[in-house]
Amino acid sequence: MSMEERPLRAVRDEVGTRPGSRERFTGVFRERYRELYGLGFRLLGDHGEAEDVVQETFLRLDGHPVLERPDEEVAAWLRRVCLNTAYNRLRGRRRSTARLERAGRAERADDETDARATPLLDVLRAEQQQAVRRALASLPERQRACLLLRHAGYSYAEIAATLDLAVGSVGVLLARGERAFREAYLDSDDPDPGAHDALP
Amino acid sequence: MPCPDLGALRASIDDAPGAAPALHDHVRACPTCSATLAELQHNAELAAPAIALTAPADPPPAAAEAALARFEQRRARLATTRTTPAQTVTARTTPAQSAPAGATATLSTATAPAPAPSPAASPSPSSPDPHPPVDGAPTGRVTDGGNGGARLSTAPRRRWGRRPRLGTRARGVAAALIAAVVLTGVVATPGGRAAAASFLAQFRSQRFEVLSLDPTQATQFEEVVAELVDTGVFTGNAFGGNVYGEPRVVADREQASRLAGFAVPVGDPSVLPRGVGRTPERIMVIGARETAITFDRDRALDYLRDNGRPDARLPERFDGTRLVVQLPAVVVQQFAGRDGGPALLVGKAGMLGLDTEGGASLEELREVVLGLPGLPEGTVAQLRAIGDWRNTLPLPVPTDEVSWRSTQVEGADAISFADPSGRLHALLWQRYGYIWGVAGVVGAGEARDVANSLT
Repeated sequence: MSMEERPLRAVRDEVGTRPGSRERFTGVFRERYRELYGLGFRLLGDHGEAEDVVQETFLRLDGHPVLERPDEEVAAWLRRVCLNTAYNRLRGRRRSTARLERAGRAERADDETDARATPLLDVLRAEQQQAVRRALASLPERQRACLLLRHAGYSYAEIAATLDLAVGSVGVLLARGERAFREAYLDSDDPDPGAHDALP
Repeated sequence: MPCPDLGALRASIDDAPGAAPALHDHVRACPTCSATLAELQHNAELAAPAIALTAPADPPPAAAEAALARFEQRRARLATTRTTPAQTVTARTTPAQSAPAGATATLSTATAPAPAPSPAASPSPSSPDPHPPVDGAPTGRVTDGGNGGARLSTAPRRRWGRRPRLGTRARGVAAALIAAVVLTGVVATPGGRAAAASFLAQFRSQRFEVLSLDPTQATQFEEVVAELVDTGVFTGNAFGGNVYGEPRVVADREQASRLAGFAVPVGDPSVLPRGVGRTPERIMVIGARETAITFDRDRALDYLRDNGRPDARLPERFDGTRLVVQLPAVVVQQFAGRDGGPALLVGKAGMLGLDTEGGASLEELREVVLGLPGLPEGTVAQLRAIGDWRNTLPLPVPTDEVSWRSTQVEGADAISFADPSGRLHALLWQRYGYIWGVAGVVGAGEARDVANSLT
């Protein structure tokens, strides 16, 4: 096997790591785990998959030169890897679903049965989450990422760093994304403004 | 000032960079920009609560430590695997992936499909992964085995770890059953607890009391419940599957009434919210069931010893006491919204009952359970504070997921719930010996109107 074919991590481990890099890595892990898990979950809607995406993200960070960069650069790098890893999973899901549908073995009814067997609020919450995720899935990936990041509380500067954009472009992406989201969301639902009133 | 671009207008909503004071002055004077800004504002206000629905529950503080432990284990496995010449790797499957795929796939690194192009430029996280995951575990998460990584912290393993013995559903059932036992706060009649042909009903739910659980309390509580089941302190057939079974879809209300044993509620169609079907799209019935769970005194002592109570004592007569939970019949009418999904649910159920059989009274057993190490003190205090515990069904409510307040429906005490997005509202009340509920993607007032119209 040539050097190029070998896993990058194996090479990194062979040359060793700088003193203190392990502490740096674990510090970053502890600091960033929660936000990356949140991002993964928002895209994938599954605890196990979100966990796996975070693990894969940190596996890529392990020994990567970016770890020596300032905190904000590491954070943006991690968010970018996390989002792309999650997107890859979503594509994989679509491919799997398409294969199953072609083979006539799609069993989506299972989910429906479970959801409908769950009483009251859980059913409705799940339905709404699915509607939101369907609407988000219809957006271009950059718009989707921009919406998720913004509504997860990230600043325009952080979004720009994550998506490798100029800060001035974030507003345009956000505006277009929210417009597209509204159209997709309302197309599948009819949220009634009157439904937002106070508790009785 | 010329008309600002779309991005600057959007940024002005968030007071982000690009929103100069001159922009606001311009917008006030420019009808076109004012209209565009209003539309952007509307879009943002719609997106914010909707997208908030996709957020996960806040992980407990120890989740990062548990994840780091899993990461280190995985890294160690990778290091071990790297030393072998074989380059065939097993593609990991999560539960969600494995369900449709049906089987774990074995791939060669040479043939593994490259991920699709990345939207990001540099660095290139989406470039073909040179080292796909190689651990053979279904999810890569740590179980109780190995080096004990799962015990590194007090992370709630039920949510964040992989428990080997029970599936999610079974644990849910277990949690519900034990919660019913722990939370109902019943007191036994000493003379009535012997094995008898017929059980003495010692508890009947006639009113609700909300048991507020913050995220820490909720995870602590779930952890203890899961531990009690996993260690065999409580056992029962109910823990192996869905004790209630699947709901049966019936043709109409008459059939539902026959199966459930009570009249199915009928509401006034004129008060149904706009966009909701006038008649139920689906009526489901879940029959009444009875299930029992058995208390194992020796395992309880083991549990106490393992959790810092080495001197704990329990009378031998406690062993084998059965707690019989009478689960009432439930009828749920589902009304569709415009997209065909359920928009409104109207439910009615009988009362939950709880009886005992065996050597320990319910009061004694309750004391044992409420004194178990690990239960959140605040939760125990709330339970002990319930006055009419014989007839009060505590409703555990996670405060980070649901807000609630007391209200009334047709003169009966009720509890109104709302989810954080403000889109989902529900009402729960007891009347005429039944539990009633209304929930939907409706306003609180609309839910109340529907509830008040039910007969």
